[in-house]
Amino acid sequence: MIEFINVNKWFGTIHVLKNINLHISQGEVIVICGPSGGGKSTLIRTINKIEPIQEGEIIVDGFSLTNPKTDVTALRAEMGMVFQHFNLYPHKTALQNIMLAPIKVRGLSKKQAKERATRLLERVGLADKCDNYPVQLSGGEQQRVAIARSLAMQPRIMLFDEPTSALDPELINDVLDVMTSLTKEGITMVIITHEMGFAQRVADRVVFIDKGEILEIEKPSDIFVNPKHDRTAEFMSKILHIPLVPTNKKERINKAE
Amino acid sequence: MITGVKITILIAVVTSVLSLLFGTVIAVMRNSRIKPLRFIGKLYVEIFRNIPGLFWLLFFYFVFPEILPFDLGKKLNAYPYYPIVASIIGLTLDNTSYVSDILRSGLLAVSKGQREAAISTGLSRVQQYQYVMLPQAVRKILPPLGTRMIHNFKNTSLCMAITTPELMWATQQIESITFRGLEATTIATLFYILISLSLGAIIILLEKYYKIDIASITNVEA
Repeated sequence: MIEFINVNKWFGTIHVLKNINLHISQGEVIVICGPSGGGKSTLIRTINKIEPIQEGEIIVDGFSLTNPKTDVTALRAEMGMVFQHFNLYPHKTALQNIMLAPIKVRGLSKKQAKERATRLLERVGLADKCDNYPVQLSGGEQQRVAIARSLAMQPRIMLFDEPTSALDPELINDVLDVMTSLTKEGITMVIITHEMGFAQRVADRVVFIDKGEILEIEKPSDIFVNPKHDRTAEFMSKILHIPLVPTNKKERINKAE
Repeated sequence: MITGVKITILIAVVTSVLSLLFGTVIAVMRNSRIKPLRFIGKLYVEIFRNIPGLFWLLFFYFVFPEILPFDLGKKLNAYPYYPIVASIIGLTLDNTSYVSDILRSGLLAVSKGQREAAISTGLSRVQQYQYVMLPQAVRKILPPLGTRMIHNFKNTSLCMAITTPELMWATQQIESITFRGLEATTIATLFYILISLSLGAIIILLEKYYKIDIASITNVEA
């Protein structure tokens, strides 16, 4: 579904993505984690070409993003993105936020769009907030509206850029619950998050990225318990607040004994 | 004098509407990916911002018909409403340069994430501007935009230089005929103040109408 082939990206002279090779199958749930500035956000933003790449190829649903003949706008309509700072349109109500794209891009009538939007708001638990403006909603509510807004286009791929990082601890669970319910629908999901409990429960694979390089790709049960690299172990220990020893060090310790 | 007021209002309204339209076009052009478009937009603003509006009024009334080919120039001069047309052209061109820069500031003030959200739902570039960027830009920039419109309204008085029968011109006519300049000017001033205050009231009403959006636009983090 999504294929990164030898992808390299620079911001000016800074090499932010180094030789990224990654294959994501349809319906997979991938969690990307890693330290700040490691390239996680940049990576996910190349998938819908908000960030272009200078070298390599990205193939989404069979279409190459670097090919100038590809209709990227049409491709973007098949993907949804949820941002750390929600990015709801402040001049529109919750309902209008959700209705905009289906009407203008898919050509739905206002009535059809309103029905779809109302159903989605019910689904994320906000049926009573349909006429509220974003400024009248809490962070968790805004983020759930944002998720509903992306779902309105019935995407096959959903991208999440640290969706709960800007939320109060109490509100995080509401958003994670919505995301968990999505994982059961066969949508391909790429999620950047530090919520490791959530990752453990829903991820098919976890990608650890640091300094622009993918260091490890493992199943959640492996990467949190048996990380292979020093850097991964270091990062996971800090996030999980438990000491971790990487596999290669374990071998050395065993041999020494 | 009443006719003068009517013509003043006519010119003000037409130029305001046209300059909002063209101003939007130029503001968007200056943000375009296409280099020539960006250049033309910048060139336009530089030309019309740095040369006084009065010059353009004089240019379009006196010079323009002369440089037109064939007899078009003569026909223009013969057209009895040509002063009004020339006023509209001159003032629109002048006002557009300011309006476009104000709108461009507004567009810059809209947070990047808004455009990214619009892009991620598959909206085309035109749709991004039409439904997400420009509405927010206008709301952010309502105060200076409104002020500019009031200024444009007062600029209609410049048109008396090209014999447009607007309010200032009417006042001068009355003075030269009746020698009651003081009364005439006082009444004219009152008209100007009245209309300016009304425009100001409209701006305040607009800000109140959009208060929810403006609250969220000014409070939300980037």
